[in-house]
Amino acid sequence: MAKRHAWLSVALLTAACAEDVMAPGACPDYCPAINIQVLDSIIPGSIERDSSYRGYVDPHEAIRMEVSRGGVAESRVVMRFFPFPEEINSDSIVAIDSFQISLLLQKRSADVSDLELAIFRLPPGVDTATTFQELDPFFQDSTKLGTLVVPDSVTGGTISAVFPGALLANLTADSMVAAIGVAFGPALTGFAHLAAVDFVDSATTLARFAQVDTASGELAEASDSVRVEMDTYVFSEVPPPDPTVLAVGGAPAARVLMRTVLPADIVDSAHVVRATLLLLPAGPALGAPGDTVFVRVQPLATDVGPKSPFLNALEDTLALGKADIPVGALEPVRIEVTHIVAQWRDNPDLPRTFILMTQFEGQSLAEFRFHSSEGIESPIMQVTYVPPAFTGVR
Amino acid sequence: MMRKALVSTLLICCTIPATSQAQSSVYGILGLGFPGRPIGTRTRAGGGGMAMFDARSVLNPATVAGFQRISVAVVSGTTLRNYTVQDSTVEGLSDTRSPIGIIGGNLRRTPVSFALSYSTYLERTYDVFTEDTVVIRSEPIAVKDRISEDGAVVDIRGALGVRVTSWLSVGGGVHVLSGSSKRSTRREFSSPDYFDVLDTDRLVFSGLGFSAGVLASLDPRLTVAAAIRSDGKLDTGLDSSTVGEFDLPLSYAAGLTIAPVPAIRLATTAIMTTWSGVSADLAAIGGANAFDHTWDVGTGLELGGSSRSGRVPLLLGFRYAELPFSPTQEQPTELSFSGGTNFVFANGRVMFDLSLERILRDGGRAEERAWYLSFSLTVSP
Repeated sequence: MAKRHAWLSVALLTAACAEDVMAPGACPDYCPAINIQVLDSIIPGSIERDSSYRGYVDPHEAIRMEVSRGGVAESRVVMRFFPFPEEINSDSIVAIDSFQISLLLQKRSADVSDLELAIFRLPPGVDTATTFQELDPFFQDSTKLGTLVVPDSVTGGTISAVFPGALLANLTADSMVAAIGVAFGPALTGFAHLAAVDFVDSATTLARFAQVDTASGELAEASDSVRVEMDTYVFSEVPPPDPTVLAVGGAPAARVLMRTVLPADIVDSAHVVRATLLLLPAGPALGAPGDTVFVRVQPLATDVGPKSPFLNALEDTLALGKADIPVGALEPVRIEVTHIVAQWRDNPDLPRTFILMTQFEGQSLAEFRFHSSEGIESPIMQVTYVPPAFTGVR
Repeated sequence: MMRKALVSTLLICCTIPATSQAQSSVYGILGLGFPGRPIGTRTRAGGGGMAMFDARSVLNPATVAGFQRISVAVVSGTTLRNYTVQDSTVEGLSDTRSPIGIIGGNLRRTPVSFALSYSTYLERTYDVFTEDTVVIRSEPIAVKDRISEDGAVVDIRGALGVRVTSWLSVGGGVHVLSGSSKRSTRREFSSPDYFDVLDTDRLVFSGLGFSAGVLASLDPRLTVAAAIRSDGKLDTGLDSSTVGEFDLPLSYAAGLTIAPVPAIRLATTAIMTTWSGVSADLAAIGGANAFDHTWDVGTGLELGGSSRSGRVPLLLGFRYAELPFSPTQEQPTELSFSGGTNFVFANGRVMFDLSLERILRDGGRAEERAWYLSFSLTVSP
């Protein structure tokens, strides 16, 4: 009897484990009467109440600074260093032999050979409010400290230039404060992005090499260096956009707030499988030659205007809805915003609004301008969606 | 011995699926689903011939009068099947379900017995995938679809049976149709530009039916039975709204048992079910083709005497049935050949039934071949 029980138990367990009902559909005869439709619609008037706001990141707040020439404007970097001590290691300075400026290059024009950065002496009173026009007289041969040549093989890292100490002879008169300006080589067009003190406080240093009078009365060589106290970049005038044109990027950084009006039977009932925002440029993308405008779209947690909080952490969504627009491009721009629109169905409390911004806000003059919903070339949404597959029983 | 019975009970309870569902079939994709067979394993082994006489089957409420003490029976069935639709063949499908369970007993010092049972009324489980190419935004995009449904319309019956005389029993039952079915549709796009779609919902079923039956032993060698069952409307709901209403069928059943000698018993049951109401309702929404009625005739032979005789009987059966739904005008049919036996333990307090069935389904441009292995355990404490 016990043997028979064991046999039965094994048989039961074996049978109970089986489960495989998945099979290729034999359509149409033996497929469920469920029609998965994919519909695509370009929706006129899908964007409304769009506005552009500028000032999110000022040049002196950016973590990179642009030096450029030949684009929408010329841009120059301005730096003011912390004061040098009057002595080096408590030894009085007899003479300053030379200075060395070190910059942290983060990006450069890839197609410019023998890239040069010209270094100029600026008045020590420069600050974040100083304008391009105010400083322009100081970018001339008489104040030029030297030229920093960037080999073509160098695309990033620390670059340095040495210039004679005599060129900063008025350092004592300036309360030991040095200010430097960096301009793009005069015969070139292109750009270079330098790390700012907001990126890392050791990004730029100014070192001095001097002869000092030691405590023993002998002359000796000594050096020290200072870091940047203030840095920014200034640029020549950039023409403002027309009132019916929206701008994203540039400096100070601009963002565009866009509110969507999409049919409820698409957003609320259907599954949005692809949503594309189509923008028609109002002119060539602005910026330095060879640069790119990295436009990104961010969903919002709530719509309270230009200071609306993002729905997700910025770094979580930067890789999504994006368009990388080369400076000078005139083609219509398509940005995939599926990741934003698709979640509105399950989260009806979310505002149907998003913000366009650039990935590297305030770090360059790169700017994209496009027609707003006020004009006939309004932004528009193209939505691909799947209506609910199920109805009743068939 | 009692300990072994308890172990067997626990084993059965642990291995049967939680839901009450019969075997899946390719024909279950159509219409309202695949009709369940509310019969026990022993009856199944005999081709369903004993269905009108078996208290552990939910066909004739008069058989409830046969519960003279508390009994609990549960059934587990495993299907192994292949099917071919036109030139497409699918092999190796399998599933395990618990198509029926019943508890019954007798009201003390009365001729009245009761039973409460669950059984599959319509099986709605399938899982199919397809591949296609669709043109979106002027580009061909390959897609993979997977559509599945998992659930059933379940028949919960409460029945009373009365032994009117020593040879006559009558009974009646109330059938509450309930259950749900989880539906899932997934579409995957080959292009990363498109998000995949997953759509799920749950259909909820409700309905009410009634049945009545009579069982008469006209002679020790001859027993006859008849039953009728009427199910009203099947309401299908999605969340809180009704999405469909179907006029469920009326069923007529009759059976005959002949036992020329105690060790040999021949039984036949015939059921006619009218599906014309469903046919009209499905036609109105462009659904599958449903036929006006179906016949289900099963005949079985039991060799070896009654289950309490201590001998191990041999059961053989043959069944012919028509299926109600088809994608074409051809009505599918089902033939099955079955065999089985049963074992009695613990002085008749525990019964273990076993059946094996070969099923051949044809029609509607498809053919399906299946093995159905069923176990049941009946405990009468």
